[in-house]
Amino acid sequence: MTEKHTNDPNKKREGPRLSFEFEGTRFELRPDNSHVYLHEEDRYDHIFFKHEADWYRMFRAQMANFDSIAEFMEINGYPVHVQDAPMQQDFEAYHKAYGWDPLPELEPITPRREKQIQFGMYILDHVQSVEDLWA
Amino acid sequence: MISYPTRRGLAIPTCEVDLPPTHLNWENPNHLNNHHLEFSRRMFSHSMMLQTLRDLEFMQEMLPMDIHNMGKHNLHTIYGPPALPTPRQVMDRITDAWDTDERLHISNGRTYEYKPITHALYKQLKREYWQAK
Repeated sequence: MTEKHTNDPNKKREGPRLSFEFEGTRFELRPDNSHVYLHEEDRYDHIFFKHEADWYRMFRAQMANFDSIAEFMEINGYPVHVQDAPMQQDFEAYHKAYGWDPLPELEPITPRREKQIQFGMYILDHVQSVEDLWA
Repeated sequence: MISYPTRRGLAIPTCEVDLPPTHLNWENPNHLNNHHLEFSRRMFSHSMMLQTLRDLEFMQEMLPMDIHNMGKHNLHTIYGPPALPTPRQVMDRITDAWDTDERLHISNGRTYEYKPITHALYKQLKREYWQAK
């Protein structure tokens, strides 16, 4: 009987693992050091994994086959977190890597709109409560 | 050849259609083989949604071989493939399966294995559904 087929209960069974190499460093993803995060918005989906002492995020945009990998990890018992929106750190990490979304274009302020804004500012500065309006 | 009957777009169970009697033993697993209600394989391999529908655990049945696909007078010679369901009908069925933890029954070479519908897969299916819609 070869070692491959031994059924020794004392022998620790090796779990599933994924690995990849990046710039000469080998990263290993195991259930105890990696998590899958899935969000409502696809672009924030990522794998959060530990290498030595540091934690890293690998976003969907960095992998061509993210869905297959996430499915493999879920079937093999890696922790999977399904969230509506990304956490603050994930959100910032994504946008630091891929840039912030451009601000929506605003309509130009007309003189009439300018007066409305001045009036709103006045209300905010001088009116503390509803009773002040009747004073 | 008439096409296999459907209900709300999905193929109905084989117990509801007319099939010849079997000469084999239902209790002998060697006399049975797996039948996909949604056939044929080629028709249902065009999209991930259709393939997932075909692979659902309760969209497959064990049938005696002589009724299923052996001899001259069997299910596949009597009935042609069922009409393709709409994306909405497929997604409704998959969502039901997702809600009830139904598994996928997938051929792995010679044997079949059960796999869960994972979050990642369900997300891909939803994305495909919105694109198809």
